[in-house]
Amino acid sequence: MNAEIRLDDVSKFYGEVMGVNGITATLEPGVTGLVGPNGAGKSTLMSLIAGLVRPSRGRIDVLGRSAEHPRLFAGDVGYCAQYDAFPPGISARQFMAGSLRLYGYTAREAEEGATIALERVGLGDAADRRIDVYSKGMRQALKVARAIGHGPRVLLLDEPLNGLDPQARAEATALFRAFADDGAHVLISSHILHEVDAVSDRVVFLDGGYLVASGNVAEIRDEAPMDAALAADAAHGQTRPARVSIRCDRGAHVASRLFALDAATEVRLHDDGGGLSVRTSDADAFFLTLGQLVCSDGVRIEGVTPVDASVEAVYADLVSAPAPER
Amino acid sequence: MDAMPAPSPAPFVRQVGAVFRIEVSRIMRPRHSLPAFLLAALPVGVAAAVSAHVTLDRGGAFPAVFYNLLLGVTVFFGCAFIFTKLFRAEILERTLHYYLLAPIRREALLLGKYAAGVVVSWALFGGATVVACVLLFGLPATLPWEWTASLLRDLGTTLLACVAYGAVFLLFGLLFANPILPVAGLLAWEGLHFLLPPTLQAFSVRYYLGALTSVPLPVPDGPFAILVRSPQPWVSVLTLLALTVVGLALGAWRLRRLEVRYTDD
Repeated sequence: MNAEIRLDDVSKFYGEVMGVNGITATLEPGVTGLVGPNGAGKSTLMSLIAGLVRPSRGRIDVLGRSAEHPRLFAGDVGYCAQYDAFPPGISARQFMAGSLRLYGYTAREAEEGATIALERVGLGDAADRRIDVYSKGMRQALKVARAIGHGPRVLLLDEPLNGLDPQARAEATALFRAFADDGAHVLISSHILHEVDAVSDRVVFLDGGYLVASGNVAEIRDEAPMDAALAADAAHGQTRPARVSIRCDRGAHVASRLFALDAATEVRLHDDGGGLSVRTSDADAFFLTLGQLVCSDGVRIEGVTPVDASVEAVYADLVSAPAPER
Repeated sequence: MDAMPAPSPAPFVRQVGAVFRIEVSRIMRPRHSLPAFLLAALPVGVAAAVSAHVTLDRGGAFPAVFYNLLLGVTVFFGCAFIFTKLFRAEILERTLHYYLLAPIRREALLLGKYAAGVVVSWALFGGATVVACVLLFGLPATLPWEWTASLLRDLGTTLLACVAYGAVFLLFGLLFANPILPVAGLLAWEGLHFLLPPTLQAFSVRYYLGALTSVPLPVPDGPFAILVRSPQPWVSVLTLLALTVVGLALGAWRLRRLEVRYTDD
């Protein structure tokens, strides 16, 4: 069986409103982050892959199957929708067991499967409480349980970390990672970009309904268009520009020294006074200069983080770049 | 601790059964169907009031209670309430996608929901029919065949009313974002059908239900009433079943094309 999710020139229009347009991509097993601002088309793309809406144009194959045949297709797909809604008046166990019966499990298997799924998301102790009294985080966890209950090989998660406390978020991301490590596709859309960054093997950037870039974050960064100032520096023969966050004492002093030594093109002091963000046109020269500052000026550095290796930075580069020809 | 692997897809009948079980428990929740419960109590209350009033002709009151009140008000509004909500409520509550993500055919979803609606509505309104009969005619010490046959016939008429109205209202719930308007239109049509020309009276559910009651209905005597011959019972049954099949087929057609995008629904 085909192990990929293939999107071939997929477009979705709601009347005259465009959901997504001309999306072509092949997604391998592993965790794929789906990144984009509100209205970028993330949820539409998720719904298309889940088979809840049909493409206006193009074709979608999920593990070689089409949503036109739900009896074969739906067993492979688990979808955690963005909607915070459940049937009223029932417990999480009733909800899960009823859902699993729809997948063809016997009553006993469905009860067992409900228990397993609820325990996996940390709701084992609350399984018999009515969903109506659940907190937002518990409801979010229940949606994840509903998505994973039947052991799908494709897990579509639309903002799955919303409403979860930090510990629950860490547990959820570990769960998604475990699914991916077992060979499943996990597609996550989230506004919490650093968490997408931490768990994703690759990302798909969407903007305005178009696919802007997809692949490994570092590869995209190397291929991404630069903003105008940095592009000008690069055009003058400088090496790849970089942005760096430095946590240190005497941030203002470091800033003035970096400018004096021509090692920075832009500096922004952190609001808390505990560091600065630096944009440089020559990363190699910058780090050499920073090392000299530590030795010669006695600056105490707590940490240095290359900002533009993150999803946020790459995303900012992509959406601030001139729109591609469409 | 891993999730159990998904079994192979269930056969069609089991899919219908899985939906049916969920829907029966959903519809039976008082919070979901309280108006239907109250509507079922209405003819029972009226029958009790009539039976307590010694001067009233109980047998003569039965057609009014059964045909006008139970079929015309209780079953009509009760079915409207139950069946339009089968899909529309889930769209409004944003829970329909849980069904559409499951490996079941949409026809199975439709039939499962419809069957649950029919069973619950018949349990409610059939129960009301039995209680109203007993209150008006009394419960004989030994059940004579004629008494039992009349009761069974009225129960069958109630069932057919639930079946036919149910299919129509289920379709309304799928076709219209606000089914109240088409329900009101149908109410007006059904309520005034005796004023319509004979040809148009044939396009009314009540016209066929009237031919199935155990007690003959009084002839409409209003100044504008148009008298038409009642259809044969077998014609009524077949016509109502045909209406049901058409309603469900259109509902299945609509459901197959339904996309979950709650904002526009």
